[in-house]
Amino acid sequence: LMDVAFVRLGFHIRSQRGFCLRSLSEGGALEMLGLKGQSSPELRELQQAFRRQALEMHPDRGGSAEAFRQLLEAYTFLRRSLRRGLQERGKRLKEGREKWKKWEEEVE
Amino acid sequence: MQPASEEKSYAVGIDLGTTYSCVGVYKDGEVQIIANDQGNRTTPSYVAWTEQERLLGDAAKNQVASNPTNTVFDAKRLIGRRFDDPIVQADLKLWPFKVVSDGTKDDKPLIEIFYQGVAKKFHPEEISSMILTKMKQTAEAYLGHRVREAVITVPAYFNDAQRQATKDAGEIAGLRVLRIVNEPTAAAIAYGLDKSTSAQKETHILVFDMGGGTFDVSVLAIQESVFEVKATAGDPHLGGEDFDNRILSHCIADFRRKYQSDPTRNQRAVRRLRTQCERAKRLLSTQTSVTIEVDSLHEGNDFSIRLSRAKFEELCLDYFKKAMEPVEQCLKDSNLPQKAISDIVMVGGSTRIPKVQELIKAFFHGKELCKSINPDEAVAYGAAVQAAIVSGHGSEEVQNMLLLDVAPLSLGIETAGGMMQVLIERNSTVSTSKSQDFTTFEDYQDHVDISVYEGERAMVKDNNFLGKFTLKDIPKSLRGVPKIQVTFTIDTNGILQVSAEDAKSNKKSEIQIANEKGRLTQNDIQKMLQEAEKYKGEDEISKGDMLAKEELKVYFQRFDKGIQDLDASKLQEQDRERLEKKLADAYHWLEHDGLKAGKPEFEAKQKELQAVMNTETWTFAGHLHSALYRNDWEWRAALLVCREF
Repeated sequence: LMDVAFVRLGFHIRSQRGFCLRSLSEGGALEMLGLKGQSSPELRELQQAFRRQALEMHPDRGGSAEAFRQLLEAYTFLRRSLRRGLQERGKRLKEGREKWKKWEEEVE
Repeated sequence: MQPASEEKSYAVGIDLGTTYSCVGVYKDGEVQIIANDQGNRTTPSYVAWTEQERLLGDAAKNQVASNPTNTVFDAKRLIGRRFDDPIVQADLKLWPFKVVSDGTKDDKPLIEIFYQGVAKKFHPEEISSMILTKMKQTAEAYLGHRVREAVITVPAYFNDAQRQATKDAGEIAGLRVLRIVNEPTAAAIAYGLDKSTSAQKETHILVFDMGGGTFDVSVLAIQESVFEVKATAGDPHLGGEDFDNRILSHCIADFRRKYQSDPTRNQRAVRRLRTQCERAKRLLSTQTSVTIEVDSLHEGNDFSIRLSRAKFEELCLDYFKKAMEPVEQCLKDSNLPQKAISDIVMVGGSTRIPKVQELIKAFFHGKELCKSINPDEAVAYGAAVQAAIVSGHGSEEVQNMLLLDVAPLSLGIETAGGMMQVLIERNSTVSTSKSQDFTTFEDYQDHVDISVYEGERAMVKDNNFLGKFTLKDIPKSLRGVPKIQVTFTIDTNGILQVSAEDAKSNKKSEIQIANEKGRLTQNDIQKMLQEAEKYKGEDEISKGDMLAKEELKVYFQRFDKGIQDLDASKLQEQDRERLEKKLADAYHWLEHDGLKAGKPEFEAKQKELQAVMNTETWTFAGHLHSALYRNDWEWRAALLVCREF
């Protein structure tokens, strides 16, 4: 029945990489930020690179809106993966510390 | 860059405030804050209608006590809101002017006033546009050029509808709105230029912006010439006026106790008292106690009360404490500890309140606050810089600047079960776009309704509805099969556009949230533009009248002098008498009928006198003419003065 079709947008499919970053690889993103060939840059390096590129690619500075959006996407992607990496490292550190503590306690 | 051949035009920055507005322009390598015709650098955001005319700015505010119901202010508290919004309903009780619903499903508020015996209704956008017109005229008078483009500021925490409405107000005022900039961000530019940080090092600042009606906090990272907003938070309805209201209710309670009568129904009394409360609040920033006095406030009773700073702080303490929450939120969102903030920039008149300063200082463990920039002008200053950047008029120093702002609220759509699926998270840098794939919920579903919301809550019913559209003709298939890509694009003004596309059929449908919910349609804007033009026309007419009158007066003087200069040999006695009589008549006419005459009448009168002069004394006309126009430059100067007027 057409008129009873109280249809709502259903459950969404999340793309595998999380947020709409289907076509993005880490290498590609780094290249976009002008950090080609660098592996695992720090957050500060990322920020600086982003700002440097933004100065060229922002629509206010004569760039195209689309290019800037791509830049932002690349930056967000790298920041997220960096944060994820940090979180994992933190988790592992914590686990390690706990194990160590436990072992110490056992020894005592 | 502007081609040189085009007529020189400036882009200005306008801080459109709840209680006061301010305009600045970037000229000759620096920002100039422009004083209005009264010599004030900020102009009250007031519009009033008297028997004869419309008043703007200081003129409107000065007559508020005698004309409370026709004096409109606080339009910024209405703009982009619905009439049934609880905030609007609460504010209604405090306003002396009348606000009604437009009766449509959008439930827009309308401000009703009486002008020349007729009730007139205005959208808040129109009121704001009148204030913008005033600011535009102020800038034009100073620059001597037309102003067509502007950057207008809004509180960072303004939502989509409020931004749209502000943009519309600019359009109605005949301005091309280059950009809607967040107020704390604009203030940060003013701060950044003041400091001129050429250092490579990244610094973080917190802008605490508390004005007359709104409150914002932003954390920014500044590195070289890039200003990146990290997070923003705030309260779109907290500011100096709320403090005034607290003092006002304190006073009214006191009056009731003393005289057993209630002045709240007496609009004039309330208005007079409120003016004194505002004054007292300002004074309490520099002195520890103040006396509020109003003679013959209500039913002939004089009112006087002594208010100490401590009492004032007690009255408003919950507001002050509430203002600390966004500060905390903002630091949390930007992932920064308190000690990472190198400067706390105080903007807006209410940051002069010692208690506010004390609280924020305590929050940052006694850190000194940055007060080097003018809290009233910083926002307009930054807006002027941004206008120069965007329009390409700035010098090299500002041309190298870049401003990266954020969206203050999360944006998303409704999914099954009334859940909010966020596409753009709050504090995302603009301009940005995000897309996500969705699918159908039922078998053979052939269309989807896409409802767009903004807010931070998990259920859409708790968030703010922005708009809705339908994607039709999806090829029928089982649920979960179709792939519908929804894309949110948010532009540099923080204004949202949503589109949905079915991957298989490539059917596309989109909305500019613009056209939905409470926003004016393009037709409305056109109509209001014409209306505004009409008003402008009326203003022009009265200006033209005045000009013609002055011209006529100047002509009288020349005429008189011309006659006096002619001796008896050149002018016969009877002619002289006739001319003098004519002049006396004309004077009489000017003083009596001239009061309500317009430009055509004045011009006609002048022609009449010229004709008399030409016919009666044509033999001496040459001489007379030279007498009349001997001081040609003086004549022109006199006219110029009139025009300036």
